[in-house]
Amino acid sequence: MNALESRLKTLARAAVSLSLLSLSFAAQATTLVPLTLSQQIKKADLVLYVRILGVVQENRTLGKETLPWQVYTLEVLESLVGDASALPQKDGKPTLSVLGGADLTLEGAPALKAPLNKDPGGEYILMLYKGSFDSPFVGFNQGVYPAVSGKVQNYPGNRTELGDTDLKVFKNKVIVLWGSQ
Amino acid sequence: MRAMFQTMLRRSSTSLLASTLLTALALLGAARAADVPALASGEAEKALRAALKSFEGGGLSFVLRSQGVSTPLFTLGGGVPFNPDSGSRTLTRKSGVRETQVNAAGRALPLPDVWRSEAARLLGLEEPIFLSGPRPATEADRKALKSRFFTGADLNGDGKIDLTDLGILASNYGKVGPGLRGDLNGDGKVDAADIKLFEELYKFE
Repeated sequence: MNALESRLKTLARAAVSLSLLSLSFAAQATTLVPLTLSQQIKKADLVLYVRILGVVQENRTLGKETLPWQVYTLEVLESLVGDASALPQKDGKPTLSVLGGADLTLEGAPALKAPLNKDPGGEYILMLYKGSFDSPFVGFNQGVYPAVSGKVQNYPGNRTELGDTDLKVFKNKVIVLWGSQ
Repeated sequence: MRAMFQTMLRRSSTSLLASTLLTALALLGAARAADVPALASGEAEKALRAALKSFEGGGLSFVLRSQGVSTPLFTLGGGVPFNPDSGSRTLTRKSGVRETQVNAAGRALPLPDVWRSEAARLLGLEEPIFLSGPRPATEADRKALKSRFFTGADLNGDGKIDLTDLGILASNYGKVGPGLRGDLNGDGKVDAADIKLFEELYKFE
């Protein structure tokens, strides 16, 4: 019986691990249209290479409800498509707002890396809509590409086919694809 | 744990009978109305009911049921404009209540397909977040649901009720919510009542 109990405990531990994995997947209970890289670029009003300078929570009232938003301040390293001045400005810097905060989670919404202590903010290539939406990124979270050590990558959970992930090559591809429409 | 297995052993003949009975009921097409914990009203309720109905079959039907303050809420539209590429979004409040809002003005995805996708999640089917085309309720969905609701203790669907299934149940023990694996009696939580049901269905080998 001890061997049986031991096996059961092992199985239960494995099941807990699997369950945690499936929970993290189930947490994204949003239904999205899958977009190719080319489709994302063509839909975007703006494509920017940015560094995140900071994030604050702002509560905004819409109708009867007051909801929290994450407001990111951006340093635009390069405008690949469009003009960043089209975005709302704060202290002369463009900003992005994503619905959600301490009291409300918008499941699957991207969280961008803000500076923390000596750790600088994350760098991203962002494909953006100009309008005000719950998430301003093309494809909800698909148009968010972290740039790390000269390479771009998909936002966690996404599997957009990127081709060459070298940052310079990727930026050129964005400009070429935008120009080809 | 040991006591539980001793109980299982005592009940092995009973569990064999229960298992056989459940299989027989399933084969005979016995009817079962399963409670689905969800709150919706107006157009959203109509759309959600229609979506759930499309997954019915083989004697299995679904009934929307409120199960207290943690019951997931479904609405059509929402105050904040939706991202143009989303068919629905889910907001989780600090209280733990989840509200799924379907994009009423969405052109990216047909509404009935979005509702079916949400219904599938609510029923505990594995549903990807990306919807690239029509999302009909398939025979595979109905088979999975029938297997789940009629022989509920086979949690991994491998055709047998064994320790792996108990491991899955144990991993969800104490959790509350819709479509939890291990919620054998369908009351929206995995608790001692489900362990008891498992004991009755488990065939000790």
